[in-house]
Amino acid sequence: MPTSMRSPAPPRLARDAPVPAVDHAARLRARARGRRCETALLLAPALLWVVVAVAIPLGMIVWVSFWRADGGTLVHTFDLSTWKSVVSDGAFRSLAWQTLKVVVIVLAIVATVGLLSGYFLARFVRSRRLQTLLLMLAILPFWTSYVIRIITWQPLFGNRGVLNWLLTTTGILKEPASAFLYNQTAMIFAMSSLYVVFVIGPVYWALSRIDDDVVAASRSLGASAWQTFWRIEFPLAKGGLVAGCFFAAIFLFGDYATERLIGGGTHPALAGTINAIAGSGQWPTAAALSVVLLALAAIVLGVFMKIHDLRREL
Amino acid sequence: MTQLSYEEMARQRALHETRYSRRSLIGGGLRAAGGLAATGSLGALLSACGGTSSSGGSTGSGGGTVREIGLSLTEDPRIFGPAQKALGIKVQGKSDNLGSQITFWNQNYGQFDVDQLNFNQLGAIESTLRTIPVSDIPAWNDQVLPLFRKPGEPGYNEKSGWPIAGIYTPAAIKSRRYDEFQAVPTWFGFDAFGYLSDRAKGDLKSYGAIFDPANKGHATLLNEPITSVMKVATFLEGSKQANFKGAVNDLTRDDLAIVFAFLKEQKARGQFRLFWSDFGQLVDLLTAGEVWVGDFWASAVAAAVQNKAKAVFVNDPTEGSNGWIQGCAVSRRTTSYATVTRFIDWNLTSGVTGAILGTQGYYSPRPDTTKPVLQKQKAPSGSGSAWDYWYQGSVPGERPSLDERLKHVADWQAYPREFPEYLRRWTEFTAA
Amino acid sequence: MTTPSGYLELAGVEKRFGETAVLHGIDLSIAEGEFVSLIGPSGSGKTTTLRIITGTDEPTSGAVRLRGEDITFVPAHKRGFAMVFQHFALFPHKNVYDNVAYGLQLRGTAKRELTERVTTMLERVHMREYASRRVNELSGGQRQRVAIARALVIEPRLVLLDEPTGALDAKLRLRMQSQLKELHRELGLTFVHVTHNQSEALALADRVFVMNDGRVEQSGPPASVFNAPATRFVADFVGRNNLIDGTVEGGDFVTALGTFALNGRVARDGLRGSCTAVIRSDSLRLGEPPEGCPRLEAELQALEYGGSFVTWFLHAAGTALQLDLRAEESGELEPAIGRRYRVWWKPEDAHYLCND
Ligand SMILES: Nc1ncnc2c1ncn2[C@@H]1O[C@H](COP(=O)(O)OP(=O)(O)O)[C@@H](O)[C@H]1O
Ligand SMILES: [Mg+2]
Repeated sequence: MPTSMRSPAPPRLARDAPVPAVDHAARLRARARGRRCETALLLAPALLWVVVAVAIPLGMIVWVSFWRADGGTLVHTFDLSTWKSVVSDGAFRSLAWQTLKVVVIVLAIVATVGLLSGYFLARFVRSRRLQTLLLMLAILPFWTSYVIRIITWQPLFGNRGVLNWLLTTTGILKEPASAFLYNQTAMIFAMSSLYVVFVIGPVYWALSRIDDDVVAASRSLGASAWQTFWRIEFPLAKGGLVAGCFFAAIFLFGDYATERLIGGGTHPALAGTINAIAGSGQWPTAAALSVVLLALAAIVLGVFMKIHDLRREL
Repeated sequence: MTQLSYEEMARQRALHETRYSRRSLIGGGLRAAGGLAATGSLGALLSACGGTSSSGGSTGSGGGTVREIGLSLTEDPRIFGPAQKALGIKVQGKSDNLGSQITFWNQNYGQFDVDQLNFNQLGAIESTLRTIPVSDIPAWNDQVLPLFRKPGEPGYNEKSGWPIAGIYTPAAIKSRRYDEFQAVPTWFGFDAFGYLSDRAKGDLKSYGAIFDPANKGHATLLNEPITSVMKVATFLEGSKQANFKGAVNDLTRDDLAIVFAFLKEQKARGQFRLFWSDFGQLVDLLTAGEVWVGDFWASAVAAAVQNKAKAVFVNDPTEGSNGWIQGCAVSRRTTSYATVTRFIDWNLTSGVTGAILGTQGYYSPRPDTTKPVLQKQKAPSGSGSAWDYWYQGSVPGERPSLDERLKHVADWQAYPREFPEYLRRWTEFTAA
Repeated sequence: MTTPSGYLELAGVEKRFGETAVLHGIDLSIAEGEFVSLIGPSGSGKTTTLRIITGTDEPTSGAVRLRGEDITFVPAHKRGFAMVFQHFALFPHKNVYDNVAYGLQLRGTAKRELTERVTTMLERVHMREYASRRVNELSGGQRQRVAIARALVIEPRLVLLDEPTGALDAKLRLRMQSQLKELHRELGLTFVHVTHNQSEALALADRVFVMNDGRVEQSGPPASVFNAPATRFVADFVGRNNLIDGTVEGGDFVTALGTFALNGRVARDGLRGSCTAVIRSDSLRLGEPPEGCPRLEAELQALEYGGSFVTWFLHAAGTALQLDLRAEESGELEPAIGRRYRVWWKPEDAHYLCND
């Protein structure tokens, strides 16, 4: 009889010299119990952290959203008036809708551009060194501070920016155009360019992990390059794509600096509004809007999980 | 010569403001981004429930210590140093930008004694404050500007009752004794608008320039409801386009409907380039010529001038300026009330605070204590002393005298009773 | 010019990667239904040749023809070939069934027929019960069978196998070989098989092509190639041969190991100049030779025990020799490393390769 935990009895032994099934099962149960105990102990700090850092604050937000603010005074009661005003208010509804719309649009752009760039990098750039270099170039902006990336926007796209200079000196435009900054398109463009790295990286890694022979196998079995992409490469890169979009979404829902600085405050999103409202002491409203924001985020992230089980990527 | 004064102002304001406003706006953005905005304001919400958040900068435990939060401008070691020396106390300051100061104070007022704030925030922190008998501040005597002591002086607004309504408790006003503070004013100033002289067109003495079709696509307003709405209301009432039921610093819901109908029309027409959100951004916008006219801060105009922009700040617009008061509010949970009142008193009597803020274009409620200090300094422009320049308007066309400016105040910035509606409407408007 | 009998033909195929020439003019012709093996050392260009046949790569010059039709630039997916990769190259995101079904799905095969063909093929390779397994849950041998099933199920016009048993252990390799042979017989498809293992080629192929440094050195039925290697390289690479270099002068073969008399048959062939004598390791003997047999002295360097045989590794004047003895015969000789032994062979067991 094997006694070590690591080597279970070979099946032949169990057949030839019958071991009482009960014993075996009991031992397995005991072992499982021990392991469960151990697991619980190991999980305790993580669990504690989740409770302290996530559950309690979340509960708090929900709780506060049922308070009321009379002017600057908070009334700590259970009151539906905040929720009533938030839900019935067309301004907040359209804000939520706009937020979702921008996030979805940016995610679509980021996914498409990220996928194409990742594919280009993995398949068309033959030299490993050049691949790494290009990837670094794509990631580099992310290592510089957010401020620097945003500040470069005005010299590039402003009235006296590089783009307008090019367009006016080449005679394409008579007057510098103001369409490149402080509107929703500019904001979406900026957000896309900021968050696309989240997708390029994972897609690139996923694609470059695919054995050349797997692609060759698909081709030799009768798949065109396009079919091979959709049936083999895309499914294999999907995890990276979804993971990238997942993180981009988390940032996008919270990014209001871009909205303020590139969007020019003309297309506010929930995050910035929550900050402004909380900053002016209107906590119940801020809390209610936070719950809305969290719900939207949960929906979007839930959709991602539905598309691809990200746990498989870990 | 003018350059010099502006340079000094610009250097300091730019230094302070860029360092704080911009960083905290962006920091806030990143923080929010990192953990979803909702969880960003979590701390705030958490401590709303009887919070225990630790308070970064303050470890003193009362007694001879004043724990203050406020603008970087007043957390100046050139003010704190002399105060500590003169009073034999300890002053600890924590500066925060306007946006989160209310939140921070509401979370942490238990660990602080003083909130140095714009009086337009008082309404948001009322419940955390203790009132102060005027008798506890000996400096508040007959030498204080009459405007701050009783109604009816030049600069007083009948309709809103400001600045008296902001300074004293309702009971003190009702009894006409003016013997109890909500908060003690320590400095004040005037807000208006500005433009680029080589770009902006139309009547540049009026706020109307911001809404002039000739400047279409190049106007801007601060992305914040209280001051922006007040300015628009000041314009609409001052130009007789509207007659509001409420004061311009405390509009009613119906008044707000009028203001926002006007604003929405302007936005739909494409009048606004953007809504600016911090000092550094505004300076960049002026320097790059992105915006021509808007509710610019005087300090940002000064910084842009230093960057060779032809920016002008309008001191006395036709419709009147928007005055503002900064001062000290005292925490309900202060553990060193006596020290705190001594510190406040010192700010008014020493002349140090008045002089340092005076050379940046702001005023003291006790000009008499500021005068001897400023008289010893040279004017940044013209031949007189700093006092002549900043308070007396000794260089015509550059800066009016304080008396002159007080005559041109439309009203004073306040926390409106309908603030949630202001905010809601503003959000709706910017999102439109 | 096309040889009418050729099903698949390579004519003067050259391949260069930049400056380096990898294939220097490959000519081969394969009949329909044939099982051929490309055999050669690592780096000799076998995989490159296969890639050019499948269309994954293009030759620098030369042509690939199928039934006389030039397909050199027909893209891989339009050739109707299927390749079994050395490292299987299964689709990691698909289960066993979907891997095998892939080629048929691309061809738009009707659902019922598809299910039937895939199931039949899985049965053939004994993988039916694993149909819904993910491929990363399979053993090496199972993966190999899925890879083969995936290639064969589309009934390709040509099956290309790149070292199909290279990643398997010895026991599995033998099983897989017999399975491949069986599949070839049953399906009647044309197989091109690459290996560096001569015994596998011997076991499977109707014909072998021995490749060296981007050239085909010799081709023919495996037995004839092994028994009568045409070049020194082939002799060295295939089988267990002893090579002794020397020159033919008159009736003698003069080498560094001594001078040996040529027998009548060799003399009749009229050999001359520098030649190599090729003697199979089981044709070398020990002890006192009969009259007229070539002989030499060699030092024993190592012994290898392989079941019923013992291989003696000997050394004589810079030439390595190996000879196979039955185990009991070897034991009787009480071999001692470092001792010198007399080695001999019958003149008719030596096979001479000469370059004129
Ligand atoms: N893509 C390539 N670029 C450069 N050299 C290559 C490439 N592919 C193969 N080679 C070279 O061609 C030669 C033959 O390779 P290969 O056909 O894979 O040999 P085998 O399959 O017989 O081991 C080797 O020397 C190899 O290094
Ligand atoms: Mg190979």
